[in-house]
Amino acid sequence: MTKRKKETFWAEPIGKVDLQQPAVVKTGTSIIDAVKEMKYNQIGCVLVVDAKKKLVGILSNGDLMHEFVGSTLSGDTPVDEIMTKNPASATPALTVQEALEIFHSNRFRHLPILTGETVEGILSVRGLMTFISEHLPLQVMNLPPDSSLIAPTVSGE
Amino acid sequence: MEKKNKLLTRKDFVSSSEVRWCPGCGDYSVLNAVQNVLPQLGIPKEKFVFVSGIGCSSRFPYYLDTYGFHSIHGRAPTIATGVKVANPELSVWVITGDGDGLSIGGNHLVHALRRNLDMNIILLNNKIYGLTKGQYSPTSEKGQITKTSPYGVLEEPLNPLRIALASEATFVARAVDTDPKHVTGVLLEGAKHAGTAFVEILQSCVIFNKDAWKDVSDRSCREDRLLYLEQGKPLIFGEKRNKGIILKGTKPEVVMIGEQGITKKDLVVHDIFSEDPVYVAMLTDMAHPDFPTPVGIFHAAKKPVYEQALEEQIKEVTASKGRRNLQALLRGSEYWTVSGGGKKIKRSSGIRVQFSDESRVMDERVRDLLKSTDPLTASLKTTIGKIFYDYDYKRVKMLSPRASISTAIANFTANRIECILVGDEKRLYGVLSERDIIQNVVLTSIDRDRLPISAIMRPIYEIMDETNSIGDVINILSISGHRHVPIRLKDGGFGLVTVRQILRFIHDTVEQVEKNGDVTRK
Repeated sequence: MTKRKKETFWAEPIGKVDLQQPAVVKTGTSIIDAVKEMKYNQIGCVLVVDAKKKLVGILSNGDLMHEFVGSTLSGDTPVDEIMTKNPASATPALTVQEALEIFHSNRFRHLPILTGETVEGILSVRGLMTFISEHLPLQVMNLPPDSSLIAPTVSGE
Repeated sequence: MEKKNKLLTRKDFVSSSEVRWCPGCGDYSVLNAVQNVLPQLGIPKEKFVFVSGIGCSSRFPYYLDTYGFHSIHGRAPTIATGVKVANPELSVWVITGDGDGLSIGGNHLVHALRRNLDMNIILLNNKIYGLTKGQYSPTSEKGQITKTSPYGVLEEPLNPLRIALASEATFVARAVDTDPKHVTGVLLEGAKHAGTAFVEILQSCVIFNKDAWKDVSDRSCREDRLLYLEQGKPLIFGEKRNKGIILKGTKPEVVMIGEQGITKKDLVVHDIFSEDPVYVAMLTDMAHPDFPTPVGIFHAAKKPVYEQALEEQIKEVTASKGRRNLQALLRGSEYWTVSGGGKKIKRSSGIRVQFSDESRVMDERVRDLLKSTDPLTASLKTTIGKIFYDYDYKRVKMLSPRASISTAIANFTANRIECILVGDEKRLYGVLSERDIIQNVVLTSIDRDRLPISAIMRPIYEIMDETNSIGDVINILSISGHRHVPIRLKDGGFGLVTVRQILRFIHDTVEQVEKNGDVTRK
């Protein structure tokens, strides 16, 4: 029984995880407007799509930090110049274990999830961690919100 | 002894107290009925106890020549429970009202019913608070004009029988005060029932709610508006006994016997032992004017009685563990002796020995529960100190809060890090992430060479200890919504644990487990 539970947990499709709503801009949008979009959506990356709404790039806080903040580029520069082109993406059928593998071997924190060419949402490292932890209520979820209140032993001695 | 019991009459239960209810109050007839029932039970007079709460009805114990307890508001079922548990030989009766039983003591009533002690609960329902001069009660009708609802009650009334059924009562009945013979019959059956017998008695308050049940209980129309429930007999009512109840699906319908080919055989046959919840719910839902209001025994069930089960449990535990010392239990497993004006405090745990076996068994059970056979869940007990030293700890940067934003940017780009700690050797002030920089630098025109990072950093949500487990960290990360949590290191410094490090740890653990072949997946 426990064994089966474990199997299904790791083999769960990523579609079951609470994906984040993406921030999306069109190609040619200025960097400033892209950052505004990220701030508005409370997310650390923005997807860049072409006229046909096909995903062509992704711009993350990391890209901005390394390509823009220290550079001489102006804020009106189109995002296309600093975004990561043809970013890695996955389908909702991706399993939790596969997602873990992807984040482990890559530096990025956000993975666009696509069905065909439609963006379903963003899988983030945080979202994945939360999803995994939700399957471990005893050890993770059902703890007091203040770590100093966590009892060192079960009987509270 | 038996001879003596037979000699008991109604008079033996009439007390010398002057009965002080308003003339015309329904309580008189209920008192009468109770005094009629008691001698019929064959129980010695000294074995009766009547417990009441507060209210007109709760004056009952004074007027009965038995033991009694005019107790606190709403708590009669609780005190009665104690009486019965301490002395199961007694015949215990609770007298309560719609306010005392359903409002002030609603919770107590529910739990007494669910416990199913062998006792009787009589709830006198006049749909008003009479003793306190006419405020509306939990059973007052919607729209009823009372002193506290001069423009009409806005709430839905409670149905006491439904509360009883929902509380898993094993005997649920109703009677009207204007039919004393019927009240006596129902109370007698209730008294014989093994378990808690709940009887609602409909009665009026002559002063504040004179016509509470007039529509159904008046002698002139009673036969047509009340449905007397009799075990094993069809649901027939009416002065001429020519009306009955049939079922269409789960809905009851009033029919005339002899009309449209309806015979007595078509009618619903009453079964108090029916385990169908729909049937008894249907009965409690029926009321004048759409239906006759049912009275009699609605439902009865044979279920274990609490005090017997308790007695058996005590016997069983005493046999295996011996008698316990109550004093020792009250004093607890440890205590402090304070002397010398509070200067000397001595901690003792002398009594502990007696309890150690029990607490150990408890601890072991909890530990078994927490003990995980899954290596990943077990690994979550690892301290974060471990994860910190294993994964990227050298990358943690700390800047003074006075450092400029430019300095921070230089650090971010040179080290490819996600986050910087803001603080000094003694104190941690905040955390600065890529996001904080981007949103401030790109969207506002701040002077990045002059503005200190303390202006844009985020304050610390929580600092964890190196000894906290990875599970604890994941919990805090989930709650805080942050991607990193600072940790206090053993050497007094500070470190940072990120979501990415956690995921790496999980990834590596899973990989390790796979290598060792501990878990079979796929």
